Amino acid sequence: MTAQRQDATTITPSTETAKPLLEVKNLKKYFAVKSGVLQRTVGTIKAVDDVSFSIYPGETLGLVGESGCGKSTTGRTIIRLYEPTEGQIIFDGEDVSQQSERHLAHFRRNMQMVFQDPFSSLNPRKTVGTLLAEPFSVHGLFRGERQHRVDALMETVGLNPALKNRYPHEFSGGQRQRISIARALALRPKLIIGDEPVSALDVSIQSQVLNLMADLQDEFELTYLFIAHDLAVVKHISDRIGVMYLGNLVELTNKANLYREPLHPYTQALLSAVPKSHPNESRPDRVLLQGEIPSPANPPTGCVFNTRCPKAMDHCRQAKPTLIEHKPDHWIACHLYD
Amino acid sequence: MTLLDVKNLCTEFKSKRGVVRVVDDVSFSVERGETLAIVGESGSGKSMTSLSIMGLVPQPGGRIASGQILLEGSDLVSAPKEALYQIRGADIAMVFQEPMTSLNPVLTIGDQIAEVLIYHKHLSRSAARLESIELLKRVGFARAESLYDEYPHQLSGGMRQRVMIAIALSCNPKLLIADEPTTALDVTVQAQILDLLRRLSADYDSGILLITHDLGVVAELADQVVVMYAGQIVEQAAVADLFDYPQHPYTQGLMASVPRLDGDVKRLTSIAGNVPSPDALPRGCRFSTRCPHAQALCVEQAPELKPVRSGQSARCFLAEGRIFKEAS
Ligand SMILES: Nc1ncnc2c1ncn2[C@@H]1O[C@H](COP(=O)(O)OP(=O)(O)OP(=O)(O)O)[C@@H](O)[C@H]1O
Ligand SMILES: Nc1ncnc2c1ncn2[C@@H]1O[C@H](COP(=O)(O)OP(=O)(O)OP(=O)(O)O)[C@@H](O)[C@H]1O
Ligand SMILES: [Mg+2]
Ligand SMILES: [Mg+2]
Repeated sequence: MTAQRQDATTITPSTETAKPLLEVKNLKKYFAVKSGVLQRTVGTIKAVDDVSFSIYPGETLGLVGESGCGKSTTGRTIIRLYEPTEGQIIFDGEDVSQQSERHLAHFRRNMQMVFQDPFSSLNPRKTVGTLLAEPFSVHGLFRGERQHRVDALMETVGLNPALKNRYPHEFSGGQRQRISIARALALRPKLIIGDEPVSALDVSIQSQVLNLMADLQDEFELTYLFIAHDLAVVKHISDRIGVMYLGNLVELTNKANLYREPLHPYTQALLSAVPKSHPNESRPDRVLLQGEIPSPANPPTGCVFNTRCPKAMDHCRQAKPTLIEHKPDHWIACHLYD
Repeated sequence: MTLLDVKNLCTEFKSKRGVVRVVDDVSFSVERGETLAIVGESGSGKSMTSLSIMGLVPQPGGRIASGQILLEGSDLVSAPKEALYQIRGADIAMVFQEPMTSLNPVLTIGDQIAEVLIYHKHLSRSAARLESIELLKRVGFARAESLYDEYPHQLSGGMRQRVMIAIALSCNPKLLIADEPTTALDVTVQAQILDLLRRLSADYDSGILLITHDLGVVAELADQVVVMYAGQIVEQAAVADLFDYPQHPYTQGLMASVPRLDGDVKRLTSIAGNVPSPDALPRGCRFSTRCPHAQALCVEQAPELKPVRSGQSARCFLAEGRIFKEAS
C-alpha cells in the first residue's frame, strides 16, 4: 500500500491478479419528480445513469465532477442509503444490491461513510464519547470495554480522550471531522466512502485531515472512495480517478494518466478551469465551457456532454457513447475515440 | 484620488461575555481598476471588514468602534443613513457568498434587476426591462429574455451567482465587494465568474475587494493581497511577492498547505493546532500558539504590522529581524 502511493506509475493494481473489494455494475438511481397536491410523478431525475467501476483493496478511487452530476447519489446508493433503481453492487464477492435490510448488517459494518458537513452529521445533544460508543452498542459489541475502545479511537485520530465528555459544538470544524472519521473507523470497516470530507474545512486544517486519512489507510489497510470537487485534493489522495458528468462516468483512469493526458473533452475543460497556482502562470489553453448544465430530468439525447462540448460531432447528438478501455487502464466514454 | 481608503478600522460585538473585537486596527486601500484580495482562516474577520464598509454590521450587538472608511475622500463611517443608501448600490455593490439567501424568492429575476435600475438610475419600467436583459447577456446568459420571468429557485447555484453579479453591475459601481463569490461553485462555473470580474475591472475601471480563502482565486484575480488572522492583518503585499516571498509564518503555512495540481508530495504540510477564538486570544502574537518559530518574545509581546520588504509588511518579530530562527 505504501509503495502504491509513493510511485505514481505503479498505482493501479493489475486487473488480472487482484480481486476488487467493490464492484459497481450498471448502477442506476432515478428520483421521481413529484408535483401538485396529489404528488403525481411528472418526471424522472436520472441522478446516476448506468455507472460501472471497481475498487481494489487498499486503493483510493477519487470521484470528481460538476455540482449535481451524481457523485453523492452514487456514494449513498452504494452504501444503500438509497435503493438502487437498477444494477449490482458487489462487495467482497457478494451482491448486496438486492439484499433485505436484515441481511445488510455485516455489510454495513464493513462499509462506512464520512460526510461533508461535520456540523450537521453529528448529533449535537450527545457527547463525543457517546457518539463514538454508538456503533458498538448498535452492533452489541465490546460490552464492558467500550470506554477503553472510545479512548483508543480518539487517540487514533489525534484527539485527546480527556475531551470525550464534551459536545460537538465545543470542537472546531477540523476536530469535528476527526470525530466523524473516528466514528466511521469504530467497527474497522474495509471501505470508507468520504463524501467531500474536507470541503468545508480551512486549507490549513484540510491538510491535517488529508494526512490523517492517508495514515489511517496505511495503518488499517483501508480502501477509500473519495468524492470531492477539488481536483488538486483528489489528485493528492487518489490512486485512480473517475470523472462524472450528468449521472454518467465519462472517464476512469489512474491519476498519472488523468492529469497528464486527459482524453474526454469534459475532463480537459475541468482541468483547465482549475485556478492557477501562481499569479505569473499563464493558461493560454484554457477552455471556458459555454452554456448551462442540462437538467438531469431532461438529459440531452446522445452523449450527455454534447450540448457544451467544443468538439461535438453529429454522431454525438444521436448515439450515447459507452465506457471503453481505450488504452490499458484508461477508460473513456466519448465518440472521438471510437 | 484613492477609491477606497480604510484606516484603523475596529469592529466589535457586544455579548454576554463582554465586548469582542473581531476586526482589529485594519488599514488598506483600493485604487480604481485594482483588485485587492483579503485571505485568511475562517472567522478571521474578512466578512466583518466588508460588512463594515457596506454599513451592514449585524445588529444588535455589532458596531464600528473606531476608524475611517473613505470612499473617494468622504467618510462612510460618519455619513448619515440616507446618504449610505444612495452610495450602496450606486457607488459600491456587494456580491455575497450564498446567492440564494440574497435573492428575493418571490420576485422574478428580471424584476429584481429592474428594481435596482428604477431606484438608482430613475429608469422607466420598460427601459429598465431592456437594460436588465442587456445585463443578463453581459454575465453570459444566452437566453436572457426567458430568464427575465423566471424565479430564483429555477436556477442553479452558478446561475444565481451570475444574476447577483448582474445586479451588482447594474449601476456600474466604482467599487465591487465580492465575498467568497465562487466558494459554492465548481471550477468550471468559477472560471466563468472570475472571467466576468476580470472584464469588469478592465472595462469599467472598477475597484474590486475580493474576499476568499482560495489562494488559486487570489492568483487568478488579485493585484494586492491582505492576509488576516484572528481579526488582524498579519501580512500585506503585491500578489507576486506574496506567492514568492511570503514573510509571515501563517502565510507560509497557508501556501504550503494547498495541495497543488502540478505537485506530487507524499505528505501535505499543515499548520498544527486551531485558530484561537476571539474571546480567548493569546497575549502576545496571536499566531504564537501555532507558529513553528515562536519564541519567548512572541508569547510575551504582540508584534506590530511593519514594513519588511519593499511594498510588503508583516506582523512578525522574525520577519522584522528582531528574533532569528532557532537551529533545530
Ligand atoms: N433525494 C433526492 N431526491 C430527488 N433528487 C435528488 C435527490 N438527491 C439528489 N437529487 C438530484 O440528483 C442529482 C445528483 O445529485 P447529487 O447530490 O448526487 O450530486 P453531486 O454530484 O453530489 O453534487 P454536489 O457536488 O453539488 O454535491 C441532482 O440533480 C440532485 O438535484
Ligand atoms: N452576529 C455576530 N455576533 C457575534 N460575533 C460574530 C457575529 N458575526 C460574526 N461574529 C464573529 O466575528 C468573527 C469574524 O467573523 P467573519 O464572518 O468576519 O469571519 P470570516 O473571516 O469572514 O470567516 P469565513 O471565512 O468563515 O467566512 C468571528 O469570530 C465570528 O464568530
Ligand atoms: Mg454531493
Ligand atoms: Mg466570511
